[in-house]
Formats: sequence, C-alpha cells, structure tokens
Amino acid sequence: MTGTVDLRGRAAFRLSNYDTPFRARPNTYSGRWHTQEDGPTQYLCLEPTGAWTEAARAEGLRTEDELALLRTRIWVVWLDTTGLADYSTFDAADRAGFPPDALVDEDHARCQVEGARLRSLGYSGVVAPSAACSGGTNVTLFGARYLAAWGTPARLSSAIQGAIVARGAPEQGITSHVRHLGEQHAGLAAYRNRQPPDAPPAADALL
Amino acid sequence: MAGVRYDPSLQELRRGDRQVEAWQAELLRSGERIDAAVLERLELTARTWASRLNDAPPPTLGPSALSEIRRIIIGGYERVLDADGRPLDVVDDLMIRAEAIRHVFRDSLDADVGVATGDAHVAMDMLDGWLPGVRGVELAELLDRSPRQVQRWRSTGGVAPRRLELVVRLVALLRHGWTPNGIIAWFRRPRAELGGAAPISLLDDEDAGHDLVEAARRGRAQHGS
Repeated sequence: MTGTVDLRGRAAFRLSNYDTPFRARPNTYSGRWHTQEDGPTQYLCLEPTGAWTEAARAEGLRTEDELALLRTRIWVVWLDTTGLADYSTFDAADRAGFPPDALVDEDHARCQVEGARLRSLGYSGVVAPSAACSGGTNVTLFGARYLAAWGTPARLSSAIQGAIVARGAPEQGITSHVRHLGEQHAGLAAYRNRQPPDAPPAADALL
Repeated sequence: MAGVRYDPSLQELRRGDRQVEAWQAELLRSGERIDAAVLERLELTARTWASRLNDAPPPTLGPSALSEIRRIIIGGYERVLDADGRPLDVVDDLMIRAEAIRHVFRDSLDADVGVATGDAHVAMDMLDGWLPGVRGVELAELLDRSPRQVQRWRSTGGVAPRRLELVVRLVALLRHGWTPNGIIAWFRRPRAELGGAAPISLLDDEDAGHDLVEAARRGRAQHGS
C-alpha cells in the first residue's frame, strides 16, 4: 500500500522560461512519471538547488563556465497539496513494494507505469528522490495547473501561487551536486550499502 | 532592429493572447458569484470564439493549433452546459481551458519570429540583435559562410539560405534560456535526443529541422528526468 505525503504550506521550485511555471496542456515529451498520453504533468523540486541540477543534467552542463551561460528563470510555488504518493525515500518505495532503483533509473518505463497506476487510484502526484541531485527530492503533480499571483488566496483547486525568484545562472558550486546521465546515483548506492547482504541460498537450493 | 516590419498576423495572435488573459481575469472576478447569468455569458463567449475561429482563423495558427483550440472550446462549452451546482469547479475548469488556449497562442508566437526571414538582411538584423558580443567568426561558422559573406548579407541583403532561416528560428527560441555565448555553445554540444549529434552538424540536414526546433524548445522548461 502506497502511503501519502501532505505538502500543504511547502515551497517548491521549478525552471521555466515561459511566463508561467505550469502546464495546462499535455506535455510535449514523456517524462519520468508520465507518457504523452497521460495529460499535463508538473515537475518540481523541493530544494532550490534541484531546479538548477535538473537543467545541468538535461543540457549536459558539466563545468561552472558552462552553467554560467544559462539565462533562465527559477520559480517558487507555494504548494497546498495532499494525497501525494510517498516515494520520498528509497526505503519508502521499498516498503510500498515499488523497486527503489526504478526511482532514479535512466529508463523511465517502470515509473511511467506506476504513474498511470497512481493516477487511476486518485493520487494527486508523487514525491520521490531526485534523479538529477543526490539528496534532493522532487514533487510531481498530476494534471493541469495555472499560476495564481503570489499572496492571492487560491480558492480554485488548480491554481497555485508562484513567482520568479531567480533569473540568470546559478551560483558557483552546483556542479558537485549534479548526477549526469549515465552516472551512478550516490543516494541509491548509499541506500544499497545499508541493506543487509543477500541471504545465502538455502542448502536444498544448491542440490 | 530598425527597418524590420512585423507580420500583421502575429500582431493579431498577440491580441488574441491578451483577450484570453482579460477573459481569465473576468472569470476569476466572477468566482463564487457565478450564477445562471454568468454561465449564459460564458456559453456565449465560447460560441463566439468558436465561430470567429471558423470564420477568420489567425493565419499564423496552423491547422493542428486551430483544431486543438476548437477542441478546448467545445469541451468548455459542454462543461458549462453540464454545470452541476459546483460553480467553483466550472470556473476552475474554464480557467485551465483558457490557459491552455493561451499556451497554444504562445507556442505559435514562439515558433514564428514575425518577419520574413527569407530576406538575408532582415535575418542578420535579428541575429545581430539577439547575439550581441558573439564574434563574427563564430557567427560565420554557425552559418557555414565566410565572415565576408555574412557582412554582405548585413549590407546588401539577398535571399536567405535555408540554414540562415533555420538558425534564426532556433536562436529565437534559445535566447529565452541562454546568454548569447550560451546559444553558440548550445549548437556545439552533442545532444542525446539528436542521437548524440551536435545541432551545428545537422543544420544542413533537411530532415532534421523539426527535431532541432524541438530540441531548442525542450530546454525552456524542466522535464521529469
């Protein structure tokens, strides 16, 4: 059974160079928790660093000089969301019966199938470890949203308050947090190291 | 960019974009006070928009964009007719639909630079405006012409080759997320979605134009990695 996370009154961050951080139409590309048939899906990070690391990973930016060439917008949004599937740690996913390694696998297929299942069960999204930033946490919201001005009480369920908090390039030091495509995920490796070694096969299995 | 004449159809699209925003503001104001009269007005608005799109579609909107907008409007019209006593849900649904229409307009505006880029003088005018500080040799390499030829385009114009037009379209998208030197670096960096090729190596490939535009657009927002 997948537990839920309550993110009422939490800030989250997202990179978007449009005039809004949110999607109202189906995403143009498939992503970790959705395919193009699944409808709009919003990807956010709980830490400000997360949005920069997502950009670095997606664009293959490996040096501070390359990151300094960004001229992007980072938005902060104020979440008022409940009913998010709790895969916030590798342990939580394991307890719910979802393979922990799938959360940060370069192949999104298992997460996409799980995303469809969670949608069908009425979950509002997923909280899971960031694949781009070891130690970071991402929030994925299912469905369309639109931007409400910061400070405006959001009476409508799809409205989320948000504002731009950074324009340009990140401060120095982001590169050490980025997990680039094809690299090992340090958080998953640490989780695996904490697991007890596989039990030796039973004697009769050797016969 | 002196001397550049913007396409009137693009201005029309911008007007449409502003109209949707104004309608969203009205919708929010109606909020909890939504009643039969408001619903009737919303229904009328949806019918008027659908009719206007049929009679005089903005030329900049392609057939798929028009079809998407029609679908959104028809769905909204049906939602209003089926309003089941939860006015805030209806307003929320219509706000999302209006936002979706605004995004269709926005994507069309992004994809169309608003001038005839077939004129090399106009195309160079745009590139120079968007890429201040980029060295002439780097721009010439991007356009696969000599610096002298690039200078000739600036001064005397002529018919813009396909590569120049494509570069203008790509830079129009990339400038939202990169510094001028970042744009030049983007063209040189290999990309997984292009089969590991650097965009600059595909600029003369007639089949790669769409993929290059999508790659440039992709970096504008965070995706689920």
